[in-house]
Amino acid sequence: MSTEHEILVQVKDMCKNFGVTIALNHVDIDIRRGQILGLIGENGSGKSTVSSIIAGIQPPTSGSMTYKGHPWSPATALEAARGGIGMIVQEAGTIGSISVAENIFLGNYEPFKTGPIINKKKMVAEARKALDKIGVEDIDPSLPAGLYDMQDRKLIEIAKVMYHEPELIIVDETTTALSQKGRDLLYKLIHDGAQKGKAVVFISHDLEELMEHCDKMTVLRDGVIIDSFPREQFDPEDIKRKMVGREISGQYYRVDEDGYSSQVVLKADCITTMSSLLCFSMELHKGEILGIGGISSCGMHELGRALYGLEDVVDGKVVLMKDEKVITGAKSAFDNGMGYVSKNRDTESLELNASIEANIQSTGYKKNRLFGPFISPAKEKSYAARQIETLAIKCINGRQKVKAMSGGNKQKVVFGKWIADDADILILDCPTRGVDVGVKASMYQLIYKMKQQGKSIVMISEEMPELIGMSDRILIMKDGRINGEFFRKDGYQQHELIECMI
Amino acid sequence: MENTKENKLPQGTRKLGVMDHIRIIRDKPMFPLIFPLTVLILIIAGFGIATEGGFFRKTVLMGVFNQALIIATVSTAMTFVFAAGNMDISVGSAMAFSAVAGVYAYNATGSVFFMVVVCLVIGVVLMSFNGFIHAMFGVRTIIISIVMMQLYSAIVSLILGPDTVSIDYGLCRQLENAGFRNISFILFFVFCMILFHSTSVGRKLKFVGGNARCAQQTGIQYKNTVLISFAVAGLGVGLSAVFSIIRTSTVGTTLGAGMGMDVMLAVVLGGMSIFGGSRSNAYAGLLGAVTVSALNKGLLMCDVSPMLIQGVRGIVFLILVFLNSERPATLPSAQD
Amino acid sequence: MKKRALALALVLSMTFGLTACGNGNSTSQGSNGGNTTTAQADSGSGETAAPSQAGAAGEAKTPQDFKKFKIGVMESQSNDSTVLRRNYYENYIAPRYNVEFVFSEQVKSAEDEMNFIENCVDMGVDGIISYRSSPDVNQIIQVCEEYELLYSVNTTRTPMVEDAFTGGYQTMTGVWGTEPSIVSNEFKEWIKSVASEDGSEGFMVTSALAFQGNTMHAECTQGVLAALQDIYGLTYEDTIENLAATSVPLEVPNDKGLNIYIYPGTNSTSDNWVQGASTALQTGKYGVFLQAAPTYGYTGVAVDEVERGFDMNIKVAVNASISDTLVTAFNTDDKFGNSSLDMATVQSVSFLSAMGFIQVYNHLTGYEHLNRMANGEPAFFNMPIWALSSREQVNQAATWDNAEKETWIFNEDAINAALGICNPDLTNEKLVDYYKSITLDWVIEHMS
Repeated sequence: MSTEHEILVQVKDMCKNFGVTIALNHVDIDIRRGQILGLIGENGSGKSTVSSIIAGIQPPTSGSMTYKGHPWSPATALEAARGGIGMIVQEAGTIGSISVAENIFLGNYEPFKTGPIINKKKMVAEARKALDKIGVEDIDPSLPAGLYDMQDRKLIEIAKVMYHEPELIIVDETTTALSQKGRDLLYKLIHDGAQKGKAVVFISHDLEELMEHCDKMTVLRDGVIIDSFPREQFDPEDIKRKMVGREISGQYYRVDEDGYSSQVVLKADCITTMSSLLCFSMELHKGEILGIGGISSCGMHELGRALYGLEDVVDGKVVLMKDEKVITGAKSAFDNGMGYVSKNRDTESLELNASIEANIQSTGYKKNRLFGPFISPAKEKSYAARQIETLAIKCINGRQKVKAMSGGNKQKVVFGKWIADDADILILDCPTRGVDVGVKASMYQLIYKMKQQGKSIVMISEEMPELIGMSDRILIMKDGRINGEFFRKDGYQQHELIECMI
Repeated sequence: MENTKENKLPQGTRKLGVMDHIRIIRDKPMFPLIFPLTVLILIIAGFGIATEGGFFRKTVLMGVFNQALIIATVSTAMTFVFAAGNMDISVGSAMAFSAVAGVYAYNATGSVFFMVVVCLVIGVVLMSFNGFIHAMFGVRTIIISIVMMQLYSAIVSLILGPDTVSIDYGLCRQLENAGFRNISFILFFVFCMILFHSTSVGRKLKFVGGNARCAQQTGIQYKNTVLISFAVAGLGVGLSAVFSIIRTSTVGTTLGAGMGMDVMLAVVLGGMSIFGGSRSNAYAGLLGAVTVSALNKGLLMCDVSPMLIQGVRGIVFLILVFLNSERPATLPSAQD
Repeated sequence: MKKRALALALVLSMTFGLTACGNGNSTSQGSNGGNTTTAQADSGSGETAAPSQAGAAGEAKTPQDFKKFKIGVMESQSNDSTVLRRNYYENYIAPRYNVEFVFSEQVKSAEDEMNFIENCVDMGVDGIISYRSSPDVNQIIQVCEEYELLYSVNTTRTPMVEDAFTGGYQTMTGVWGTEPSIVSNEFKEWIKSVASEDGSEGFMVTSALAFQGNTMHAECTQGVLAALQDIYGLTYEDTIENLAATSVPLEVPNDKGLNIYIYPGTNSTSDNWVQGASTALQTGKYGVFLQAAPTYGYTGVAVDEVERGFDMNIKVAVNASISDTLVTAFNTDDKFGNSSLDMATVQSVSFLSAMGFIQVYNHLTGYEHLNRMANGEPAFFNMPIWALSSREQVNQAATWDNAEKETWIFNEDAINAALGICNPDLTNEKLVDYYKSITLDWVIEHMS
């Protein structure tokens, strides 16, 4: 469907700088009614930046916009929203302590006020209408939003945005936070919207998702528009290449069929934790990449923490088979050659205000000693330098602070510290979340290399393709239990795995 | 592994402006040492000129160092506590308590050695107690220290009343002239520097201060690390109690009043943040204490009125704190 | 960045404003920046003018015959009086007597004293006039002796400082101050005149720094307790000395159950001192309020509130100096049309400060025998105080010790009468008598 539609929003020659870095570099975009435009690019490409400028969240450094044919420069997000631009974001945008209805009409209590008093019943009734409009039935608008889980809260946000019947709907990386049901709902909304003549901008990492739903796709890289493809010309390889800017050599995931040893290195022996796991047992073998999947709340994240000793195990034990050592806390795990990459990268895996070197060196306090308790600065320096080089961490020098780096680079630092530590058992929780394609590929290769070296890896992930591509064995968890076990040698069937999850 | 060696600044960055250059300089590793040291040298030079050389006399400069000793000792030890993101303002009262004990110890046994041992032990016990309560029960250190400060100083008041206790003044002068305090301080300072910078102790403390959860995941145990920091603080408190006794040979209820704040000021002036983290070091305390002492002496020698001295001091501190607290702006979270 | 710059600018202007305010009373005449004293300082430390310079009982000399002495002034408080004193020293005394003064910040501990003394030594100071009375005096005199620095301190000869007298210290010039018994007598007399038959109105005493060893404050408090004991025939559960030295607020138990409350400290010893005092007053249990130190500026508001709230007339007596604050307080009406202060035992700032100066100056100019008693021990000079109990008296007193008009009670003539260089045949006994003769009548006569 490439009939010319009317232009709703036009971005002209827009630039945006943050300090030294250029986020948008003379960008021109046309957003048309009735069209779903996909913006795809790596992290730092500028796709979120341009949409946040359209939605009034931040001003451009230079350039202009028109909306409905008139010049458009919203001073605030509220102004943009009132003008008809609705944006649904990735981060959580609801306030847990107030009701669903109050969330939906946040900042807009005027219509429900008689004098200074707010008519709650009226607000709840309107909220009900808003939820019905997007097809959500099982959320009660009078209850506090905090009672609902993250997915439902995202739906509340969607209801809030859609209530105002925006002319332009911007969906920014929202789908990763949603369950399948939520995603379907969202897809229906945007398609309905496009049919009614609204414009949609769909921003995502997920190429397949965009290819399925968009009429046109625009690729950004380093703040510059590389190319645009109408639906007929969607070519995943070409798009990927344009996103990354270079050939991705080799395969993305593994291609081998190497097995793994039968020797068990780590065992969870009927462990029970405070919230999700009840008498959970599993084994990890030497040289194995064990994938663990499930929906977000199935307990797999807690399992990862429990294996590393970060979660209270009230019954049962986690045992390192080498010396029959019971893992009682993070220190015992660390001291015995285990490593843990948390899914909360910024808050748990890194010290943002410290330098790259300092972060990598944090695993080497024992290793880098000269004699007695004294640490050798030379050893420490090479400990870090080696990782910066082999992992090709993008930086001016090792003393740069981790804080300002991109997601992919940060994750490289995290990997770097564990590789330098030469951990035998690594527990990875969502290791490639928020990481761009190029770095992802190199990480998969790294993981495979570690497997070849005889290390054992537990990979907890919410991305099905990743699990399928990388694991020797996959455990699907549901409600704190193992609901299915699949083997690489049997071949993985995606629909089987998904059925196990739900 | 794909090769993306782009060690130059990525394409499309514009030329660095003044603020950017300042930030790059501030991130250099030697900066936390060079900057406060330079400020100190400038201050001394300034006063030297203003007093037409008077300030440069050996006795005057030694005097600056001497007057800074007590605060410098506690501040150096307290950098360990600050590095991990903790705070303790009971150091003054703990020092007074420790000093009272030391005086009684000396008067009972006539042994300087015994006095030193008692002071050190009491200092370590008191400060470790604070650390213990924090590690065991998770109460914030600032709260604990506020409570303990009242407790320790109440005990001191109870013991002393309106009187003071003292030891033989002659002995104190002997010790002072033999450079006892100076030598002891230098030894203690070197010990702290080695402990902080050459062993894993300082690194662990900094990590805990920067991100305690991340530290936990790299096998650093919060409790043990923090207890060590408080024990070192206790050593500093005990040693400074000895220094206080030797300096005036008397101990009264006013001893150590306001020291908690003086220590924080010294540490900040020395270029370290009192919230700890990666910019911590063990020499900020000494630098800052000497800076304060030089300012006080210099302003007086320049015939500045006492009220104006307070004002000038305040301004200098403000400027230094302001310069030290700039943070580089970061990109918004859409980057991630 | 802009916000930071703005914040900094605001704080800077605030700081400047405050220091300018604080400095308002004294002109900056006295602070000549950058005067070097290297030449003198090189000779080791502050020297006492060698006795050989002046003939012991030789001809009269003038201040200009001597080198420009440098005198350090150590203050333990920071209030109206210290500001006034600084003005007196810098603007009145310094030019006339060819001396230079160096002032300390508020000295609160022995260590602060040590620091100031060491700094003074570095500056080539010849002698110290100290207004900090504490047990540390014994230690401090040893320090001064070592640095050959003269030392004179505003206190009385109590057991606390006895060692300083008997230690045979050359540089100890002696002490001066008001026999606390005189002040406490005035307080006693006054209580007797205002107290009721049964003592039911309740009595509150702020004992200020009595708990730290300040003899004046201790004696005032003791005087009050003794007076009450006399009037009502009370028995206390502890000695009056111990009670007065309490470091925590104390409701004094007594056999007649009278409300007697001792509240120690001043606004500089703790941040919520004023609140504590106000709270106590607001119980309405105390109809007579005595203050051993000039804290009435801080408590005045509370007193006024309580008088209005409880419809009672609180009678207030303070131990203070003549200053603007005192005059204002006396001239402020309370709810009943009376003065908000009922009685003040006052010292003249110029009188007090002059005595300290004279003591050091005599020593410096070779007349140290004036500072020695017959048995060779350092002398104690008693300074009379005056009790003012009416607005008229105070307003008259306000015209004395006025900085702008330079109408000091203890003016040049008065000072010269006490100096050895002007009266070579002065003796210690004559000097003691001279001071005693400065009564309220003397002042009224001389100042009109």
